[in-house]
Amino acid sequence: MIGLNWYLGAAAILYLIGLYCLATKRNIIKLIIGVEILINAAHLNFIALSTTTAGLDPLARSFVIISIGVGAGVIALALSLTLLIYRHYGTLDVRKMRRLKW
Amino acid sequence: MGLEFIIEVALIGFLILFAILAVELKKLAYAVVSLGLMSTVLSIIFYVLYAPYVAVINLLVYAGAVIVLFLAVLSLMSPGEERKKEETKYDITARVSGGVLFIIIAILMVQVLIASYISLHFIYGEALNLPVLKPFQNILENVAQSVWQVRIIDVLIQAMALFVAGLGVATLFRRERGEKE
Amino acid sequence: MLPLAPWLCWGIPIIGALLTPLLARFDPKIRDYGAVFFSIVGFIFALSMVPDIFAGKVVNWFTGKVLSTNIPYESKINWIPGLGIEVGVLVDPLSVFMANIANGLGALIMVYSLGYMHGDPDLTRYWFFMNFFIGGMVLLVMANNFLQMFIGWEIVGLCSYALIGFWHKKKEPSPVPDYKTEGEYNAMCGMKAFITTRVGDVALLIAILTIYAFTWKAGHPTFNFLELRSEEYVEWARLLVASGLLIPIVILLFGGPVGKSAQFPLHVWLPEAMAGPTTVSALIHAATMVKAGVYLVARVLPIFVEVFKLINFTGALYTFSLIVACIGAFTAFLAATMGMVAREVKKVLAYSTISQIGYMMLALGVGGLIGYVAGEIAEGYYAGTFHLMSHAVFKALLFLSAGAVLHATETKDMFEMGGLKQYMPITYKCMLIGALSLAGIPPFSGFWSKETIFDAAWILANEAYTHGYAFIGATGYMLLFMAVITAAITLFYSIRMIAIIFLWPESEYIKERERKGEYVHEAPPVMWVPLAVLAAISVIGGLFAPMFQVFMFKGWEGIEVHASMEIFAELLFSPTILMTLAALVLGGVPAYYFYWGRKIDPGEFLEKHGFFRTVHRFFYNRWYINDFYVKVIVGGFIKLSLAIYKFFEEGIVDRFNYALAWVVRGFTQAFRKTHTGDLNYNMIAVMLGVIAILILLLFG
Repeated sequence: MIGLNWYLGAAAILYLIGLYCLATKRNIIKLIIGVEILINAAHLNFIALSTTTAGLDPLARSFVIISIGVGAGVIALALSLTLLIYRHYGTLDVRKMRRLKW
Repeated sequence: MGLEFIIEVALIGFLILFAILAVELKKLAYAVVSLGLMSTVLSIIFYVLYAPYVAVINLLVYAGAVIVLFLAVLSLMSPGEERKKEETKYDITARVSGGVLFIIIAILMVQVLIASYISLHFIYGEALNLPVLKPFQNILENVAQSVWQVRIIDVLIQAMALFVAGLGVATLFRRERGEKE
Repeated sequence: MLPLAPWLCWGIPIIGALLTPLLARFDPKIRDYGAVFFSIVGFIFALSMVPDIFAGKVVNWFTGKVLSTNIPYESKINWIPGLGIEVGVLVDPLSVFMANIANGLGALIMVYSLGYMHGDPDLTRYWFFMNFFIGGMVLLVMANNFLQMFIGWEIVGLCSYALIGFWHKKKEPSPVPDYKTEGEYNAMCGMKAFITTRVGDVALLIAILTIYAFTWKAGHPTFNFLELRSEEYVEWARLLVASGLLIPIVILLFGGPVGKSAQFPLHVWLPEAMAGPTTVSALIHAATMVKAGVYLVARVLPIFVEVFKLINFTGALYTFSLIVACIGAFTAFLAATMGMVAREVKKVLAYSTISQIGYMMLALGVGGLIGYVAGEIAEGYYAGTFHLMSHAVFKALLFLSAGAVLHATETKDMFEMGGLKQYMPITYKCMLIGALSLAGIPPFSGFWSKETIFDAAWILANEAYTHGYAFIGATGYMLLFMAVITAAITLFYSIRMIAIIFLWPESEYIKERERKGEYVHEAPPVMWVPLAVLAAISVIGGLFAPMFQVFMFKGWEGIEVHASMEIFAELLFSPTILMTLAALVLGGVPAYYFYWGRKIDPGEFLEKHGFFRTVHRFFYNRWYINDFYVKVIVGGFIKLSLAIYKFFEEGIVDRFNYALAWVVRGFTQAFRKTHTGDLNYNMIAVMLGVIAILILLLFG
């Protein structure tokens, strides 16, 4: 069993990858993928921290299960919105949707 | 140290690799497939970390339902790419990744079916003495327990959805190649 | 008394006032008779308290239950016990007497106004305020504590303002050039009355609250009159004296009566108040509201006597009485001189009111001083209240007759009338009786009451010298002298008024009207019957003096009064009778020469003698006091407000607002550049936020 730090490091790297994707990419689908990577990073964090030599923490596992369900719902909603956006704008480029500009 | 260490480090490496691929691939369908692979690797990591229930649910949800959703949405929108000007250069990669995905899904489905079969035995208290399954006994028992304790019907529906997903992915790639030609 | 009479004699007029708009919806006649009905019922309740005072015990006539076996009788509800605030009535000779005057004259004048105000379009408002006024006045006099009395005080002030400016919609050109229409002028008169009395009201309120604060410090907070002068709660007086605030409080307390009763220096509002209907002038400004100040002084005088005797500091009584007496005497003289030269009949009567109230204040002050030197205030107190009653009657009579004359000739200027004796005989006789009573001619009631006042001043002078107070004795003689001079002037202007209106030949104005076909006619019965009633009372009122004396001193400890005819003998055979006769001659002879017999024409006389012309002009311009107030106080205040507006409002507040707006605008102009609408930039902002939180968690 490798140490906890590897998993925490992996979670951190995933988190950074997710943030990078959100900050850089223009396509909406890519943005949603970035969100999903972020969620997965968080889950990895929870599970890694709940596995100790003294025992397993069931509370953290339960949170993760619920979070997986919620995450799926969020992505489903985002995808349906994407569909509508595509129909309205004809493009998936986020930088073309600037109606909230000052 | 030893085998366990290599396996776990490799798993983490694959995780990060698939994540970077998911972010960077230009063709959206490939990115989505890479995301699915990442989720699968994550499930395996969960399983290694003594969280079988979480692993199974993660697999079912992310590597199953969400990927299907993505692909369904992508199929409704014509630009399968991030930017229109790019052309599809990764045919071989498409076939390989499609194939890998299909195999993984197949293994999972088989595992689910076997687990259900074994768990039926568990429920009815009969022992199962299949010599070929002996080295996988523990894994199978764990998976069976987590799957059976959730709901068997949901599991069967998930299995069907996964099967459809596999077929759909294959169809998707076939259509793309068809368009090019 | 009738059950709940002390509460109902002011409750019923107020209820009547509130019901008047409701009754007006049915029929104008129902509204008119309804309003008068309520005031008459109130009067009946007030009358029912009188036999109880005479009997010395308070009995409920319906149930026969004896409510109290001594006067004064208090009926109260403790509203906030911790703060000493209560609601109650005090049945006491002074309050019952004043309540009867207010209710009785109110009812009579309401009947009169059925005829006088007939056809006016705003009658609902008129009835409402008249009834409300009567209720407020009776509330004022029946109150058993300062706070409630102040509430009544304010109610009558409000109704006075509303009724003076009653005809504020009139469109005729105004008599003074400052205003466009007569309606505006009337409204100004109402405001002037209100604001001038306000000055007095504020002073009174400060005094009341300060006394309350001292009772609080002494441990038993109270506003109650009886408690303030009782033996057990006398600590407040000690504290008041010890703190050195006694003289200011006394002056402030007297400030209220000065304002409300139009004494110097707050007397300037009463002549302008004649812009209201004559019935209003009769009720409010002759018979009741202006008497409220006298009532307050009479109420407070026993407090000063008893309480400060208990703590051995009678200096308070001395100061208070001296101020009251001197201001009263000076005002009497001042106003009488102004009345000598006035042109409008109602203005003459207004000045005469100010003058006569000065007499009452003089009497009460003298009573207080007698109490200081000899220990008993009964003489002056009785003189003041007796004059109050007889003045109320004959002044109301004079005003109502003046109203009849005004109604018939439709002009206010006396010199535009003349020769009305043959057209209005009843009015002439009533007004003559009123004028003679005012001037103090025997055997009318005015003579007896004025005699009593002179007698009191004489007694003061004598007692002061006997007990060794030379200064007070000299003051007593001075006051007597001024009172006698004023009596002479009073006779002069009363004769002048009667003569010009009734005995002089008809003026051009009257002749003009007759040519147009508008004849001067006698007043309708609904108007001259109240006149006759009041005239009768004025004639025989003097005979009631002994009974009145018994009435007033019921419940006073240490005074045994028997009704007897001694009182008349005393008055007729005292040295003051000579002074009165001298005054009558001094005033009557010139009046006869100028006005009654018309031996000398006043206009020619003024032209010949420059000295008298200057004096005449001085008196005509009201001793220039009014102009001084307008220019200095009102003008100065307006200038000050304008200056503050320019400096503070425009300079500071406006600039601050503009600066604030400019800052916010600049900030938002700069800040809106961050809204790019691009999602990726928002994510960068999220990352920055996460970094900030991490730094906080790590190093915070």
